[in-house]
Amino acid sequence: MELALEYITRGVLEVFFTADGQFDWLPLAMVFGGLLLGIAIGATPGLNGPFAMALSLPVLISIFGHSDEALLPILGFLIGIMKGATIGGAVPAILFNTPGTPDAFLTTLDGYPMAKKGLGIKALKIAHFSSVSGDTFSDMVLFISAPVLAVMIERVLDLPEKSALIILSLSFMAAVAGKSPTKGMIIGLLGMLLALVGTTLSGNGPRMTFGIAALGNGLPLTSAILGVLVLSEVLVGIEEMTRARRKKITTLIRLPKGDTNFGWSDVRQLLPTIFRSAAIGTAIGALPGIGTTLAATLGYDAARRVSKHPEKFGTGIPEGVAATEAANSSVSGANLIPVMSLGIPGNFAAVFLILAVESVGNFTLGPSVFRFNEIKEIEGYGTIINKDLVVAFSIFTLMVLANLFNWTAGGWFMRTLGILSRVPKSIMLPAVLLITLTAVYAQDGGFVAIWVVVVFGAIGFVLRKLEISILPFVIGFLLAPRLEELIRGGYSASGSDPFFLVKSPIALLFLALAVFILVFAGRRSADIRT
Amino acid sequence: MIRLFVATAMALGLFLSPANAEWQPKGPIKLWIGFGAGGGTDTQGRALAEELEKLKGWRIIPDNKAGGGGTVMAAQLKDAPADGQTIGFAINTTFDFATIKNDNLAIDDFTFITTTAGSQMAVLARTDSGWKSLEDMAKAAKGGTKIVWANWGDQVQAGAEIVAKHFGIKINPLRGKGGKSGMNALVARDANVAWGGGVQRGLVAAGELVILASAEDKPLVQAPKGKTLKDYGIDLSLGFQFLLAGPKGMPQEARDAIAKAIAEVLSNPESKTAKFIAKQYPPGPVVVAGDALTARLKKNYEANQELLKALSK
Repeated sequence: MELALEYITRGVLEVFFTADGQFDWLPLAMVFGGLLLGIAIGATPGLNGPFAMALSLPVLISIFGHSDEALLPILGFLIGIMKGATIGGAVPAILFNTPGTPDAFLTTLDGYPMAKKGLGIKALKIAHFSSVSGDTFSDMVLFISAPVLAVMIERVLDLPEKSALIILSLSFMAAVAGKSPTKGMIIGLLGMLLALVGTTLSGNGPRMTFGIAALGNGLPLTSAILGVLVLSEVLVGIEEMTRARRKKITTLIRLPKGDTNFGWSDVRQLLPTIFRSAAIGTAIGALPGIGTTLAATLGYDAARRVSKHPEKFGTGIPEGVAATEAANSSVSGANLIPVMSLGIPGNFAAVFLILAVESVGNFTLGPSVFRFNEIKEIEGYGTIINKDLVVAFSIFTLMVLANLFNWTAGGWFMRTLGILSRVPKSIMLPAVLLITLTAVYAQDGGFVAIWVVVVFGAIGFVLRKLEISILPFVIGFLLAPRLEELIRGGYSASGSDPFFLVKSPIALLFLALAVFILVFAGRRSADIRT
Repeated sequence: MIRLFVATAMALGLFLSPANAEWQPKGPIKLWIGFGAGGGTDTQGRALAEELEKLKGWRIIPDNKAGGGGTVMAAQLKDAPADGQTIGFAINTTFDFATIKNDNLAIDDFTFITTTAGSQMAVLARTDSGWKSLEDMAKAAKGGTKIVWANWGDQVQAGAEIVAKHFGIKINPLRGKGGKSGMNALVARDANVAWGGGVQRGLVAAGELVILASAEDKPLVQAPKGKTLKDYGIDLSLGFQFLLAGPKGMPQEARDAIAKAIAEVLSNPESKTAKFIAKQYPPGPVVVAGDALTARLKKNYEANQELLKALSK
């Protein structure tokens, strides 16, 4: 216990002080800056948190470099964006009936009617309070459960079980992330197939590179992910611009001003709703692949079901706003549970945190992080310590900091965003395109990166047009190398037993569950269609 | 008049003397690192780039080209212009082992510049295994314990097979990426034996891992009284060196200028690079340059061919 405390203390201090004991304002400033940017991005319809994280990461790396010291400022900024975006989405939803992020759609149901009644500011305060409460709750669950789960998993699971667990998570994501589980599975497998390009662990040289030496280590990760996420969005934007005549921006109705107070009595009244929604959102967030929108829907639904006056939902009541905002914001913290305990990212925000940790410094993120090695000072060697664990606690500290900023300055900043910010696409798209291409060229080394970003952009564009979720593709692409390593390892460590994967009861259970989920989800989606 | 002539000649002579006519790159030097960010090669390479820039005023751009034990980088380096402005940083096995029976790479495709440091190659186990030596491990294996031996490449996997053969036991290999993967496999209990080239330092010092044998020609710094593989009667040395190379046909003066500059950085014990090497790959920098290095690598190449032959028997 004392050791755990020592690690936690070091993780906290690492955020505030440099190696030589000077106070370090940089991580704090980065969290704050990221948070403000995140709130603004969240409040801009058409932009979202992961999008901003995707663009920021390569830019941050080019500013701070790859050294160990660069990690915390970079992560601070990304965490700031992640958390800011979750509260920003409510602003245009309430004031202009336009959700800033997709999950804020349900916020419009009660938020906008409230604004029309003159309670706009009050609705914003409720949204802020519920959002940050939900987020804080979810973070606390993360802080407690991730280390415990990780330690358990590392104790119990061997190579075959770990392989089976990844297969289970991938099929779960394929089943839940999009509308059709079959399409999700096919697209996830395509992502995995593309990840096979490059070196194998067989030692037999690179595979599937078509003789291009630069692809020897696989398709460059950042380029591929920025292509499929960001470039495809730009392509869709360009297509929309050329197709649709420019829509007139809806003229804003002057909203009346009414009660703006949000006091203890309101808090007391809303707390049960917030707590219920936060629990729902956290549970949803802990499962990989399920988005914030479902959490918001379930949160809203649950609030309406237990309410004494369900008919009032949708007419502009505080409970409606609180239920959705608490639910969708509590997803973000819990989403890091599968990352920290299994090494499996469950959403795009987690993908970028993993990318940051893997590209900067000498750290890993995953279950092996939570080893409480004894800390020793050894003469001539320096300190013996599990640095990954210190960083894990630093990440938690950055999240707490982001929450504190969110509680205080976040609410104020959110309310100043009183105008509907719409960046004209004719400015935004070229700017995003320029940043993306420059970033991947600089980070992934040359023209191969440009080709990869373009090809993956095309893939993302087609997927969007076909309305297939991109998430299984990205996660499949990201996890395939690890799965291959585990399966190869499990096979050779078993003494080349071809049935190694089905000999362990736990692995067998995971695999059976994976098949069950795909079949069950496939049936259900077929039922819905008929 | 004559005096003036002599003075001018002397001045010209000084100007043209080798010290002043030293090779200068015509633009930035690309330093391709054959392993991933954050590893031992990467840390050395980036520190070296920084200090060479300071020392010589050259502009050096480090870039990671990881994969295949440095061979992904080597495959690209081979076809880069041989003007001294593209150089690669990897380990000797990238060139003297991975090139054996390789369609794309040959040892003669490269100009070898200099080594920087040598490994601390060890056979490792978790302390809680209770093993203190290779005999303990072999005894456990004969008693029914399944041995899973983590490695990062063909050469060290072959080395593990040779050790197993010597003791008449069976081992199961577990392949990972880079030296750190072996440590992760040990700590996560996915493996119970692993090779370590230097990354094990912290975990051994912390008492988490124990050194069963040195795979260098002499005992390791962290186990000065421990046995080497040769002490066990196994004729095997898997120690490796970090080294810089350029494409074939690199001008001699470029090779020598770069090697000299690196030697200057490494000979300063206060330099960041030398400090890192002293800590991670003790006792300190290992500098073998030019023809001596090429000759050593060729000798290794032949020895490695023999190793593979011995294994296939």
